[in-house]
Amino acid sequence: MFAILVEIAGEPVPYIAAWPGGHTWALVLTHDVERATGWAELDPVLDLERSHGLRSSWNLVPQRYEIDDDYVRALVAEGFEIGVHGLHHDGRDLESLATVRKRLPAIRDAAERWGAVGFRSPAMHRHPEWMPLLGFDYDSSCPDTDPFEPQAGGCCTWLPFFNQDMVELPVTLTQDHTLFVILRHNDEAEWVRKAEFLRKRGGMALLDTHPDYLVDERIFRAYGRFLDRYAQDATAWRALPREINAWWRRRAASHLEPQGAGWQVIGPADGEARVELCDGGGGEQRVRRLQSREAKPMKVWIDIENPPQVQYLLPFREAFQAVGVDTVITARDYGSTVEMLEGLGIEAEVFGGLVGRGKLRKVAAGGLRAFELERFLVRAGKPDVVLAASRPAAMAAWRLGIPSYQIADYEHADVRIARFTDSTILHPEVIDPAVFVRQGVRTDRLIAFKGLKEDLTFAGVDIDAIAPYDIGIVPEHAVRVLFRPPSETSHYYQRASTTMARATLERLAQAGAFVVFSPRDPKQVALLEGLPWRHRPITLTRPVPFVSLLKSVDVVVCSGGTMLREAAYLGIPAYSIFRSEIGAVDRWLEHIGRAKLIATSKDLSSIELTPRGPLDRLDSNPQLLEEIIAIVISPAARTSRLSSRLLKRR
Amino acid sequence: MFVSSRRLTFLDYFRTPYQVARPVTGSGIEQLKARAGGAALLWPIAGTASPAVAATVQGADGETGIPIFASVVSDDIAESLLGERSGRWSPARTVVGAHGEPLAAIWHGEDGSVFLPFDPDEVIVNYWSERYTQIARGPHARRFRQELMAFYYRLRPLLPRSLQIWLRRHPSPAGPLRHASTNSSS
Repeated sequence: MFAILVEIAGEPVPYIAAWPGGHTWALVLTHDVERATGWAELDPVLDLERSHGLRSSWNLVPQRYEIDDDYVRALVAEGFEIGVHGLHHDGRDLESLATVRKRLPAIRDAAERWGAVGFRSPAMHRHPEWMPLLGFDYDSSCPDTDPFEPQAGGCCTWLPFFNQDMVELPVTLTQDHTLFVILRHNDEAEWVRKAEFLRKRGGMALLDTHPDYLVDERIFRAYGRFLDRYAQDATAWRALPREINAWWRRRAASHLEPQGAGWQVIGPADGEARVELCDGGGGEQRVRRLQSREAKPMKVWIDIENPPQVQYLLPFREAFQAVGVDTVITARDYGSTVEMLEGLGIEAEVFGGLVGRGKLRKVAAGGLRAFELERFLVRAGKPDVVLAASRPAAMAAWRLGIPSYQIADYEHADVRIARFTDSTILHPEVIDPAVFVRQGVRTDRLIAFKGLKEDLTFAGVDIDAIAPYDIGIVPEHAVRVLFRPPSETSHYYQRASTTMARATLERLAQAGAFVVFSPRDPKQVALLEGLPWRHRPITLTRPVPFVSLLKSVDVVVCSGGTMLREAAYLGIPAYSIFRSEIGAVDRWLEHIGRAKLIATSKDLSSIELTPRGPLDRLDSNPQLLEEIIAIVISPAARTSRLSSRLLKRR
Repeated sequence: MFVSSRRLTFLDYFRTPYQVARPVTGSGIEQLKARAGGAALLWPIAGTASPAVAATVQGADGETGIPIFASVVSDDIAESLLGERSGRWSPARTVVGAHGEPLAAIWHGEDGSVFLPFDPDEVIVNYWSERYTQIARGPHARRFRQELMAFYYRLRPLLPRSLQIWLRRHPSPAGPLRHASTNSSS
């Protein structure tokens, strides 16, 4: 249908995204308490959810077992939700309209007593035309599809919808009893399969489980593993049914109005709703079709501020050119940035250089660089959009009136400039967007992407074809350790990082490691002095291709930063001695066993000095380059309000 | 962005901007156009078509298709309706019945317009309301099934648990439910 609409409109068709903020899908946990035995078994399930930081909805049967209203109030006060689950759960609550009318007063009485706004029919018995008569804000008695229920069928959608003035929330994951008892499954694989299906398409994963059946250890453990998998998923809106209901009403009461060349949400959902565009196609073909509508080739400005950015921003140059988009590259003369670019044959316009420590100095240098960039771009021809990880670029883009996309994979960096310049932050989905929101960034300026920025760095790189860097003669049995000291000029630098670096080097010296020292600043070689080296370390004094360098060592020890992530991405044992606030990406890499975060000098003994095994690429999102390109060159994106979800829907 | 001859559930649902402007004269056809003009999406007004049926809009490859449950207008009626409009029209996609028999077609106009032989709102609402079960089985079969279910629940306290589970493991005949299931997960 959208494909037809796009053809008619002759341009991408806007719509309000299904979920608020930076969320791309919804996960809703609900329970039906069928019998007294279920009511007696609430605590293990509640504790399991509390331990994951989750809350759920509990649908209770008012007249089948004794319910302690004080306990119900305590659950509600704790953030759980209570719904009404029929009256007697005898298979007859919705048997006929006469029965409904007879039982409704007692149902309504329970709803008032518990403050319930939602209804779940026992055994999912339902008559769509009767449900609004029950007087609830929402109903959740209909599966999207379920041929195994006594009332087989389903509403065939995985999104909420209105049934008259009642919101219907479809149950979209198979119920526990159906899955484990009727269909004889043994684990949560089917829940995960469907949840991933819905996650990919931006649907609502609504699960209905029962404490009556969760007493079965097998089902309980499966539920626990399911929660493990999604409790930290930053892309998911983990909401209660009543919250989904309220959002759906705000969304339905809002509309889109043109604003400049884009669209603005008007109504109660403004501030949390996102506008998405559908172009009716998908993938690369879609990108090209959008591009072909441009009267002149689009121009994307890429600003590169430091050596790691050469690695993950430069791949965009060729990729943009492949879809007919021109690029202009600017750079800062910092570290080996310019040398690396020149080595790759890239002619970049260079503005600014090493700034050093001091907030005032940084602000002044950043402002000056922004001014120079703006002046250059006015002269050279205004680009359509900027892609960078650079505050001066964001400021210049704001002055030029063009959209700015900033890649950020460390959430504790200062994002005030991005906020003031109305930049859109592209961040890995493992980062909780709430961290940015707390810094004042609007939710519609946040786009979570699957994977890591290292997916950009290694896009199209044939690791096997690259020879290891020649680090000279390595003493026999010595383990090769690449060591990267902290950046002492970053605004999040703490002196403790340098102390920790020195302690780490001392430990490596004592253990007889062969250290390859990669300083960020030549002065940092002082860290090597006066230590009991068994094997004299070598210091890198010129830029070395990073893959080649990483392949030449057994272990990488870094004070945070890109090198740690690149090593972890390639499966090289990676240790972080970063003493500032740890980012979500590093925590995630540790969680999946690809990095180890060393908190204190006492833990330095946990660095394992052994020869490494073969490389093992992570490839967390091989399509990331293409996905970000689609975001950046989308016409609507250039008018600023867009999320990545459309682009993931292929 | 669009102008429609009546409210459209699909656009309301996705909050896609459009205005409603009733046509001055009735033509038996509803339409949605871009505000800038050009091609249009057309469909028959309510009452033009026969009672709702289970059908499938065939895919471009003739194999895969989208199941729909709605009233559809035959090609004869479509030609007659489209004949009142300018430009040439030709059938582009076939709509087949439950047994694969051709029922109607989606028509394309030379200006890029598209004519659906059914009301898109009706398709959506028949899914949401599960009316498709009634359309596929017929109202009598549905009523019989409801009565059977009521009987089952009265009898259930007497049935052994193993029998109850056996009955659940042998669900109702696929037919429209398979249609729905396919649609929902594809």
